[in-house]
Amino acid sequence: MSKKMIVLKSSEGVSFVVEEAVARQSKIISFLVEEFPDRELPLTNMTSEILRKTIEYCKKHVVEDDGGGDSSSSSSGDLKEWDVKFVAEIDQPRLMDLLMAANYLDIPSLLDVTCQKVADTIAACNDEKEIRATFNIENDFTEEEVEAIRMENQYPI
Amino acid sequence: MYAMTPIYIPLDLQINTLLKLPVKSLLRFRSVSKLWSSIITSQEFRNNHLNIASSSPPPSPRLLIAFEDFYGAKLLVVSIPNPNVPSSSSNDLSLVHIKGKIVYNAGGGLICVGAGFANVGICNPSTRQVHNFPDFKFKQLETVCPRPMYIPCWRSIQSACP
Repeated sequence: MSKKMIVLKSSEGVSFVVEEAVARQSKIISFLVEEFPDRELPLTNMTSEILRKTIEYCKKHVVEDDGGGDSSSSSSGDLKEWDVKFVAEIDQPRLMDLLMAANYLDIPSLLDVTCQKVADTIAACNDEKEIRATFNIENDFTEEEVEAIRMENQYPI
Repeated sequence: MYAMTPIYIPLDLQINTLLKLPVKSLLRFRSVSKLWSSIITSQEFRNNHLNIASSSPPPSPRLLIAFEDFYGAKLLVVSIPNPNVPSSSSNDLSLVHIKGKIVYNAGGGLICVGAGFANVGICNPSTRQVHNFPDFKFKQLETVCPRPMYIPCWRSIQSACP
């Protein structure tokens, strides 16, 4: 049985040919494939690099899904390990882009993994300034208000 | 060189990320912005956070030790991981202001405090907050001490005073 292929186009105009089952992990692509069969799908807000990463994730996860239910316990553990490694290799700005891509394409499992990684990263931050920079948030607290929260949070020793 | 222009992360994604953080980090991140502070302290966020926390595998039990100071004003709470279980988490200290109350009992990570029959409250050492219950009115003098009862109600209490 020949597998149906889908063409995805990044913002730079680079085309990626992927199996339908791989691409269908994105709910939005799944919908688009049904609406517009045999058409190239332009993903204008995703760079080739981020799209390649997303496809890499989807490929890995579709293979494991096809493996059948009986070996799921060991493979799901392997898959988790692979996920951790997958996000560990990505630097901060790319991670944010991947998070946005997972959100845009509606891939719940990838969204979950990237959110967790972002959470782990900011949990390790000692300075709120870094977090504001990461999320592009403006500090609307006065110096005294920040100090008041810090006092409340103080841990003895 | 990768583009370093800051991207705007939609609020629902920010909330999604916050839901995955431990309570300690959340308390600290209230000082990031007024919006984050109001999200973190909102009842809806607390409930969602509790749902996620209780659906994930329970952490290994920890030993909770509470020291009361001489004046009964402060409560020093130490939580220690099980030494027989290899785990990365270390000892955890927190200081709770209990304002002249006595510790009665503890369960589910919460501590029941009070002064006689009045002023009974539940203290959550993670957030260092004391949630006071309305005072009881007895027709006859009761001789029982307040104590946490019936475990399933902990969930609702926890969401009331996280």
